[in-house]
Amino acid sequence: MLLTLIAGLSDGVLLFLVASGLSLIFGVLGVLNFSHGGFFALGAFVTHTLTRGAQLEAWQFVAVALAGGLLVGGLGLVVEATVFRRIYHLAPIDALLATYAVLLTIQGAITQVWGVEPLGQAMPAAFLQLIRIGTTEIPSYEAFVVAVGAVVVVGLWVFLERSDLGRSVRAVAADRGMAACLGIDVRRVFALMVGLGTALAGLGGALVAPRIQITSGLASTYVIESFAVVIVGGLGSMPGALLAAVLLGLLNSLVVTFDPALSGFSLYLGMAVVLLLRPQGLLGTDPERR
Amino acid sequence: MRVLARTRDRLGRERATWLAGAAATLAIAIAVPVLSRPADLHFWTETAVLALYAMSVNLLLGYAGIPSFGQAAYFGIGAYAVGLLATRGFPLPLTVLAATVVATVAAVIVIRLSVRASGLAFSMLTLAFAQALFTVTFRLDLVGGENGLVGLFPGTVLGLDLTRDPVALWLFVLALVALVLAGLRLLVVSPFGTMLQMMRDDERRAEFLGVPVVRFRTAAFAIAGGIAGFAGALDAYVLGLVTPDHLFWTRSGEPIVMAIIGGMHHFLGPVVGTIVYLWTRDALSRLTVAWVLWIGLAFLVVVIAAPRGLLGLPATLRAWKRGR
Amino acid sequence: MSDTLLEARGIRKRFGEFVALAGVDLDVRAGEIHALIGPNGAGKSTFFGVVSGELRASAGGVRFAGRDVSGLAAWQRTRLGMARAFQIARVFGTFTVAQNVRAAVLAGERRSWVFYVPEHGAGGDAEARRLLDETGLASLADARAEDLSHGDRKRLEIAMALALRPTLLMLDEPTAGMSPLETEATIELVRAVWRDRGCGVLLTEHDMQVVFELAHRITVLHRGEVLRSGDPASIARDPAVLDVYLGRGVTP
Repeated sequence: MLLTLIAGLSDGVLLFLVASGLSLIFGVLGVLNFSHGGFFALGAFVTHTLTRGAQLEAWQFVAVALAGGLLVGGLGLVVEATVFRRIYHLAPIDALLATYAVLLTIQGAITQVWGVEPLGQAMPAAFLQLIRIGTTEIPSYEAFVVAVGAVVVVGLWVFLERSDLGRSVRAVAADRGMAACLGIDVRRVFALMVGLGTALAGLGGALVAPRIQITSGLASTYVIESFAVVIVGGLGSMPGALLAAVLLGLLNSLVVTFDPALSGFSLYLGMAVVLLLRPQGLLGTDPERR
Repeated sequence: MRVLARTRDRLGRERATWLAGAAATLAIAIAVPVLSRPADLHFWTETAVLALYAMSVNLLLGYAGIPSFGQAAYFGIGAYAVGLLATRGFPLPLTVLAATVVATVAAVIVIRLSVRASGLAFSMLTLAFAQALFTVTFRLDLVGGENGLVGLFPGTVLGLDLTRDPVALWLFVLALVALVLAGLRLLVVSPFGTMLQMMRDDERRAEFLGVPVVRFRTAAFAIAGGIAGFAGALDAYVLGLVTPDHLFWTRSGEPIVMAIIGGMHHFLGPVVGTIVYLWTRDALSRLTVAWVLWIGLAFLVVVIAAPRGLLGLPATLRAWKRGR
Repeated sequence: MSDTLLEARGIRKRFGEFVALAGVDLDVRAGEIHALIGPNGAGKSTFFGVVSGELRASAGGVRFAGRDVSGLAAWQRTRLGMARAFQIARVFGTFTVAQNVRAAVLAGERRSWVFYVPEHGAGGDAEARRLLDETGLASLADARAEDLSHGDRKRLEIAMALALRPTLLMLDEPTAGMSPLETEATIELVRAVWRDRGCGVLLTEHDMQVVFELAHRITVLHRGEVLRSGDPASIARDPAVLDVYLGRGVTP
């Protein structure tokens, strides 16, 4: 049972890593970024390139993952400056479609650079070992992912709630017009959040690389899953995204132990159920409607 | 030119449109098989089916203002219905009819469930249903799991051997597509169509003019789902198979892209967009394996610079000149 | 009373902790112009929302034309004869002015479900032209609604409301944001409409000139409650009203 929980938790954390970036970007820009999945996939591909798929020491892998995340974040900044800036003024649905176009572009670019063959990334030896907790043995990789998640959660919390820049971010998310009037450089905040968000997605991709086949299809699969998390958690709510990610990850893990064929299904079913009963998400703001 | 204008005035605009449509359909029906190679004929038959699918998606997106990201569900349900029935020996007219009915019922169920959601939540809900369906079919042996169902032969209909004669299949498919498009045209220019467009522009205003918005939304969704299912059913026969890919969310995104490229506020926009998109994709994929890159960039340019699409290009250019 | 068109009793509305309406009673008689005034935040728009069906009251009931409409949706109340024009005019942007009015006529004549005849052939052209003339919009018939000026949009909204042949016309700040000239024109329009059609009118306003020129009765709302209700002359003199809203420098 513990095994299932830890597996679910680590799945949830990975989801959260991608979804947190999405949530940050949505909170500040008001745009659901379809291309987010593309940055996630890029994280995996960049990791492969940096390591050539070889097996590394655990600390080396961590360094590479961080580097990968930073590189992807840098690319995110470039995309923000070239593309996103041009879509801020569009209607929400048009902006959404534009980000979808960016997703397609990233997928195509990935194929152009890395080809169509699936790539692989070897799991660091240290992570293949099992950790004993009581009577259960859990893969240390999953414990590692959960640990990374915890660090990110704490880091984000400290950043958003305790730092000056974080306060500016929250102000822009609440009311960008007002924030501008208060002298906050809104454009810089936009750029920063896109950079941070995409970096987190890249980090997620890097971390998941040893467990999967690295293909450009990752972009389309993970983007919808991260959408599910953000919607279920409530748009613009970071705690909501965390809660939703963990819950959905655990749910999926539990369902899979019953019947492996249902993997993935529970995520979308959960998403549908939450949207039906509470369209604003678990921790989203309640709109007054008849 | 003046003859055309005079004909138009004399017949009334709408009737002239109908005549033009009939003439164009006839011309296309004959020209395409004559001018293209057998392999290309298959491509154009598939294009016709997907154009119909895109039209159904645009009924929701462009006319009713309902942003559904999960139409692949009904397209896929139509295709799978045919898959299941055809592999059990049921004949074509019955399978396609059954597929359309099942897809329509599914659409009604989804829209009735989603009554309380609006905007982005609604879009995501439609997406969730379609993806849930996808994950199920992927692992369900009954529907062939990851590989889907193959060997879907249309057989002989009205004396035409649709399985072996590509021209017969083309004419059959085109006739059906044209028929449904005619029905859509009638719908869209009627008061019902006006009500949908009112809901698109300002749902609240429509509500306060006494329009039972929920009922219209249900009707529009049901019609669009039914047509999508019909298109999916035809697609299964044209391809000869159905796979979970029919249900993947990108299958919901493609017709939206096609509708926007063609122009979502123009009746035939989706048709134009489908032809342009599929032809370009076909040509590009022969040149490079990374064709998605160029499609993505092209679509990005369209969304940012020419959101009215190809058929709306004159208006876009006029606005450009005026410096707006 | 048989000539009471609209009867709102004990209307309460809460938004979470905030109490917008704390028990409002208001009548509109058939054929009267009734103005609802009060400072910002008094609850006028909320009251409009509850009466028209946009919001559900926390307590209290609304009767319209003799029947209880509290449980009915907005579109159902509209079909019973309530027509609402919004503070920020809501029109169909991609339609022309003429198409907007014709759409309203179609909706009002319950021809919405007709799917087998082109819209042009479904009638309503003559009626639409009449409405355009009545509201002075004939010259703008082919303009796109989203290109209209603010004042013209509000006139278009009134034309659309009239297309429904309402027994109660609800106007939410009809002259908000208008120039003195436009305000005059709107006053004239409302008066002409009332005179020619004999419908009841419930309007909210901040412009006292409009209120005193048009209203037969005035209800003053303050902090979600009715402060005073009565004929214009007595309202204008009432010390409580002067204190809270009008100020002592107003002359009706």
